[in-house]
Amino acid sequence: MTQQTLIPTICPYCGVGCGLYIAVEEGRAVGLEYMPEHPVSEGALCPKGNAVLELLDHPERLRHPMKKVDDGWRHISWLEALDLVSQKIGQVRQAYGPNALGFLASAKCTNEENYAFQKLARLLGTNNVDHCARLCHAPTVVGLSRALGSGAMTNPIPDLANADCIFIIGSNLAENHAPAARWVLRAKEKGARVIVADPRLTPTAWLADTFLPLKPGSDVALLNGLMHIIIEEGLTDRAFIAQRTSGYDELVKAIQDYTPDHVARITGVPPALVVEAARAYAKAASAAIVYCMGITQHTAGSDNVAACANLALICGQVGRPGAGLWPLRGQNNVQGACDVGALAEFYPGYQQVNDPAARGKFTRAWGGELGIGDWGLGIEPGLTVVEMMNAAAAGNIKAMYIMGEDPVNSDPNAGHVRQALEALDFLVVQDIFLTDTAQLADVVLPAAAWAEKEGTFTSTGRRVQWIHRAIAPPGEACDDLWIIGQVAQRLGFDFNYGSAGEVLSEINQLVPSYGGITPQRVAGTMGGLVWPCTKADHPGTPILHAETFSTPDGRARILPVRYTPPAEETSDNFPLVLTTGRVVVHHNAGSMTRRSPSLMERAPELFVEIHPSDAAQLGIAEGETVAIATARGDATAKARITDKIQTGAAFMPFHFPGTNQLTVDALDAEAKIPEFKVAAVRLRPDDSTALRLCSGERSPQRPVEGVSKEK
Amino acid sequence: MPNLIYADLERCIDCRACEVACQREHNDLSNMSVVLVEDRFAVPLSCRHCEKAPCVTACYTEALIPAEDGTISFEAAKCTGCGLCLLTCPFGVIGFDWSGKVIHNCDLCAGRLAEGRPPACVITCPTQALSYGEYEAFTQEAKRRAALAMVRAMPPEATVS
Repeated sequence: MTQQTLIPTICPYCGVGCGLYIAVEEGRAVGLEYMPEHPVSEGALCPKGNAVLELLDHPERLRHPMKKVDDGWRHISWLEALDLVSQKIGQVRQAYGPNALGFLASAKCTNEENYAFQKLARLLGTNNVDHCARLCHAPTVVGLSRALGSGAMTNPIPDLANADCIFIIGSNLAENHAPAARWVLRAKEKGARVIVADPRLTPTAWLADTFLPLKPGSDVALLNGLMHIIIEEGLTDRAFIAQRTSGYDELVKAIQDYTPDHVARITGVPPALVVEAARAYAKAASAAIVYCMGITQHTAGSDNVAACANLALICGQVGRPGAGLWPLRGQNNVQGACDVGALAEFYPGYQQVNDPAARGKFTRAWGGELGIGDWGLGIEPGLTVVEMMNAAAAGNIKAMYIMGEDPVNSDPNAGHVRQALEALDFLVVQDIFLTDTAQLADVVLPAAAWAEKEGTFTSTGRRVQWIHRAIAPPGEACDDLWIIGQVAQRLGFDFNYGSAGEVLSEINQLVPSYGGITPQRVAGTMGGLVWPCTKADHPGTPILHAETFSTPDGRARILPVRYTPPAEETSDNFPLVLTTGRVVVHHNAGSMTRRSPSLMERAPELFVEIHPSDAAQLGIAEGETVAIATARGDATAKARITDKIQTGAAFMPFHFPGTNQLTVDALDAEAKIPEFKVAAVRLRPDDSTALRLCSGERSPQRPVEGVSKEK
Repeated sequence: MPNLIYADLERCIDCRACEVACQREHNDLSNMSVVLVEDRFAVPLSCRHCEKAPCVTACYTEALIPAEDGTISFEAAKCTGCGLCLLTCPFGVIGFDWSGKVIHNCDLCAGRLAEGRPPACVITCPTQALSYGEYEAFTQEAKRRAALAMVRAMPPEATVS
């Protein structure tokens, strides 16, 4: 019998960071085994986690470097590909200056790869390096940093079990971070009260004792309404406010108007439920706030985050077991990519690029004036994801290097993104599949998937975990670190990383909170290490802000915010509110899950949820193809008629091309996140449907059981 | 009754990890189905290994027979693919394997159990809605939960603190 080895790894999908083993036999991944000893997942995996092996050795994996030619793609050698990429980048930089370059890093790649990637961009003299964190949790980084001094989740996921009240707003964790639901249920077993605020009755809402069905984009009004009641009824933590915060008096003034009746008018949530939720949260011995993109993906995203922080602060619900803020992050390494500087305004470790001291530090660390490029490190913060696309469309960015991102599907107003990328002089895309973005590239570089390389991922709980290389990449595909190094060397930089471990050692030196997360320690520790972990003997810090906040004076900032309506309001022409989100069997832009047969068979196509009364009015039948239009674009999807969504609203998942043709690219002024969650839309039956049904086409539908409601 | 897979409907979140896990463990054929009811509840269904199993009664080739441990065992070589068992199963959980022209059914992950590992659907379940064991253990737990819920519903002064 052949020898089978179990290689420990971390799931490449969401930010929960579940552990699993890959069974390897003669260099091939032959099976998956669960990891009951993992501290967060305890052996659990969601459907996506169960399907990860379908990505390895997938027939559509990129196996060769390719160059676009007149009649399609031509395989080229690595030598030719790397020479071409570095020449083009060098030429654009020479001709137009470093800020004519744009770099998109990847929340799917390791910390080490993202570190090397942003280092390359910055050495070339530009800070135009960003990634999709901008599209999910930029307001968390901005809002929580300002309020608490750190823009990350305050407590570990398993610590939810210690909460007496869990308030979940704008997070459908049962679908998007399924193993986190285990810890919510563990708290419930001990008697915790669960409150869920969401425009839809999601599987997460099934877990709720109190469900607040708010209108999309009305979060600040609801949160201010909760605080209004808490202050009115004297349920605040006065000692905490006095000793550990500043700004409370301004808050009291700012929320005077947010009476339950006023809040009900804006949010649609009955006043009695607002009161019930406020009391439950404030009176709990320890209370958790869990939020996700329902809070962040708004033009008021930073305000929403600030309001969440304010609620926690006035009730003293931060810095203890079961008490804190849990922004659930969407990708396996979106926290890490932010930590190591794949953001336009930050060097690794959230050190500001426009801070001369930080610039000096990184100039010295990266080889001094001689070692870094002749332009020096950029002085101004770079362009963010959406701004880069606008600059490309305007002709100000001439060349882009995109690693493991698919902005054509993941960014709002996708038609515009496509035009922007087509307008570039040169586009290189490094990925594991020929995504819709890669289709637009001049050169495509085949990268290794997570199981084919090593390095670290940082989960949403700040848990830095090592992934071991289980198998070799298919064909000529290479790991991203090697590719980045080769490009950098050709551009004249001393990039001589032999391994991910060497890069992590450099990160240890430059990012204080990663100081003690050495390759040796992290690779040998089940469940990894939780930052801040500053020294080699530091145990890690699962709970932040226990004694003091990470602000200059150690006090948290209460920053009052006012409700502002979403950027786009409904009109006679576009009378419904479209909100977007995810389904459990798909992940983000879908480049991985749409290629996974066992997941695709469970959710094969784009759908739009609408309420039965809206459907009746519009003459839309279940399963029928619907044409959906906004001011920006249009799409078609299958109708799902359900009362899990409120009247006047529609919901579409963003895993399929189409949804982001519709979404708004209006940005939060500070965090620069686009408002994916609210767009004004028009729905009508698609005229071509009848024709297709006549020709006998049937769509696969999951049987949904109905129970008659006899009274 | 043999050790079986039990589902706690209060905990199931319709994630369908059990379906995908089962499929992966059984050559791309899932023996687990999560049925969504009115967008409010999800019910994971798999073979109950009935004490008086209609599928066994219907199977004229004895491909489906009660094993010594009380589970229903299936021998593919004897199966004609007639599908009578599918028709008689009150839960509709027996599947048909079109490539082998035989039925497929939950074997409780016998191979995994023999190595001391729980069935794939049970260990993968994010919310621990699925469990494997004796029915007494399941009903005991259900009683405990129900009792707890009743106590919590009482006014605070009536509880012993």
